[in-house]
Amino acid sequence: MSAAEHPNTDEIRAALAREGITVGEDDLAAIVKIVEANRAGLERARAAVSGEPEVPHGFVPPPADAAPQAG
Amino acid sequence: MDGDLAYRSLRDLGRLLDQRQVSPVDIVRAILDRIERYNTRLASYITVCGEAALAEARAAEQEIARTRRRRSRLHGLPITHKDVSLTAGVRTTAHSRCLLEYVPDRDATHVRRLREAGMILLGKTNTTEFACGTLELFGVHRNPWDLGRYAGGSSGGSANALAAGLAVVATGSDTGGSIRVPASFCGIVGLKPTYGRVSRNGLVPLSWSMDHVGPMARTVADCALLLNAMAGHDLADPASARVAVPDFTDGLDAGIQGTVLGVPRQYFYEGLDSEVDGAVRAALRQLESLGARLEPVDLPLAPHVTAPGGILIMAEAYGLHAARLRERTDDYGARTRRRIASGACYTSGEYEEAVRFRVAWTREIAAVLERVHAVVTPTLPHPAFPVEMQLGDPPDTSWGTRHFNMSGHPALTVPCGFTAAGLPVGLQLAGRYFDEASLFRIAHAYEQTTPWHTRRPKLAEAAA
Repeated sequence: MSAAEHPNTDEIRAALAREGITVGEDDLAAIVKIVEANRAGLERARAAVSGEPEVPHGFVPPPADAAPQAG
Repeated sequence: MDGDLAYRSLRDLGRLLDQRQVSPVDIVRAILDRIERYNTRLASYITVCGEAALAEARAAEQEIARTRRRRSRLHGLPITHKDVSLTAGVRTTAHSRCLLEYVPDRDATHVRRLREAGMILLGKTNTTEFACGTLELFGVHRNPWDLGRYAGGSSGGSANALAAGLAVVATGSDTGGSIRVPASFCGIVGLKPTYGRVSRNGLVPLSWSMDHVGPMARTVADCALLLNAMAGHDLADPASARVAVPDFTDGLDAGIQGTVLGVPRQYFYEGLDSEVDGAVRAALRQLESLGARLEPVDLPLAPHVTAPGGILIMAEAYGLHAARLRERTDDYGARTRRRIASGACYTSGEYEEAVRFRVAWTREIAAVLERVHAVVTPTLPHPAFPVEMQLGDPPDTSWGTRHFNMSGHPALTVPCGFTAAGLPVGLQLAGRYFDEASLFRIAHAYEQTTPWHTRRPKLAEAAA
């Protein structure tokens, strides 16, 4: 599917323009492909998590003062 | 002797230095000769520090003669850094037009620590642009086991240099698998340490929450020795952990009797190339024969890590590159530009969803690692693929490695066999936070009872 055919192409072009990023049609098509693949994968990932995912307070792995886990 | 020196381990070379059988100059010269001969074809190095390395070697030789001792077990031995690590006075390009003339005035923390241990900088190795994209300026790092195949990325120059005897030990960076993937493709050992174990200060960054720096070598023991000097708290990296650094070479020979290894039921053993499948299952049997107990474990979220991980990496990469990407769009290679620009297109809600998934995945794998000492998987589902495929539409090589960048757990790859065509296969071990020592112990036990680390590629056709 070319960039022009993808329903979210305009949205992605607009997002890039808002950021001041100018790209050609080839770049746009490639970017649309990457973004939409990851969005679809994120949707599947969300569905695979049982229950309501916990709201993270900062990045988790691992706390900077973590005690080493002996092997 | 020179050809022989090129494939010696740090331990062997240290012993030869201590016994005055060779000098640092002999070792550096032996490796430089091989770089001169093979680098054009292999594209291992972007910058070779020939004269400077020899000068450092002469200085080390004089210091050792004067003091009658080596500063550390690394003193007088050569090191090679991926060209995303800042090196004072030596250009650091990240394989990008944007940094072609960049000569840092300081070392990255891990570079400084290895320099202070007495290591000699041989050069800067090839990487995909900014560790995520194109290979347009300095060539494609080729696989020494088959020059028509890709060495893997992004630390491919470090990996193929080690496999071809163009380096003794090396460092790399790993945001989704960039140490482990080329290490697996090239038949060497590579470790992504625990998040926070090795400072990223002075690393050309890609993704603040996923970037790691780690050691690469031909043997597990050499990786352990290198990590000793690289690890440790550093105020200059906010993620750096205040955790004691053990001697990672202690206990290497303790064996794995009673060690419990988790074998995932989901994802990691599905759809493998048949020869990879065979090599990895043989490795599991070998580990079992050495006294390990294999335990099936459930990781139902494992198949879903790739996309949330991709969103996190590229959103963070865009954040870092936004200003430069606006101003110098055409100085980025096409693949790099597209990947990084994609990060501008996710909403903060999507980024947050990816972080939430990361929390869920991290809890899942951390719970499994409470019950087993390490999880064992193939590093990749297939061996190295043709260079043309890398230049066209390559497969996602972070297939089995990105999981541990997401969770921050340490993960190591060790060679576990070869295909009939002579291509290496890698076995990945992922362990508990800050327990790199167990990964080294398990991998060393396996390595020392298998022949894979003793094989060498035939390089005649790679000569310049």
